[in-house]
Amino acid sequence: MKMAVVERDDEVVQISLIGRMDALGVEDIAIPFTAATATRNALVAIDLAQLDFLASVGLRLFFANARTLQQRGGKMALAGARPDVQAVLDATGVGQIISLYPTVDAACAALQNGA
Amino acid sequence: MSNSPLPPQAEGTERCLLRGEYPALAQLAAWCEHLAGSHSLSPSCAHAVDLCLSELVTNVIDYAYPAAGSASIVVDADGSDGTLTITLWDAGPAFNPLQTTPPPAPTDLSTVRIGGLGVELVRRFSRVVSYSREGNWNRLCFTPAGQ
Repeated sequence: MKMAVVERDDEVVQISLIGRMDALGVEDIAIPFTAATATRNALVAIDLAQLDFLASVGLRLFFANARTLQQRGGKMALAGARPDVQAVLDATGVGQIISLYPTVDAACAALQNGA
Repeated sequence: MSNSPLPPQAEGTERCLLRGEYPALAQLAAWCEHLAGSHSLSPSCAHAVDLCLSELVTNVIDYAYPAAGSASIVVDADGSDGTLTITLWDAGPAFNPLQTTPPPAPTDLSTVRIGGLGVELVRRFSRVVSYSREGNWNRLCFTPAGQ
């Protein structure tokens, strides 16, 4: 899988995840994903619109980095999940601890408003 | 691949042999896509097969293979009675993943339990799951949800 990082004008860091987030995919991005999220105090919106598949190994990456980000005073949100990915997020209750939004713009607005 | 004999393959089933390493997950995903077509699975059922096998095989690679060496992972798909049933065989040490305690629902980032999420997803995305030990093989059967 791939990831793309954009420093938005509204100062939210947008990370787009592309492809298949299974154990093989996470191997491709774990280090740059951690570098882009957990090493700073930032608002981070994870764009899931191009994510084809999400397994628990991907959730572990989200939880671990969201936790570290929070400890540094930042925050993570997930946005734009396709139906299959949303089903995995719903089944595991991710929305209880990492906010989910239908679009990246909605996620960024909420992050800036301190949601 | 292991030199020991493979588990018996029932007539009419399709079989996929995998090495115990992460690159095999790409082969597995492609095989799941093939199954979705050959068994005319609904999109939700196709996703359930894909997800459950990804979780289970990843667990086998992570936990069985340091002990099992280069033994095979074997996946059988049986749609002969109109319902698709998947059987996953691995030659690792005896281990029943269904005995793991499900994680509690997450309430806080600082206390969320990460272990057990994969098996929990398998339970949620399948209807019937069973485990048995057959000779040197762990055997896990499941019927994916969405059928």
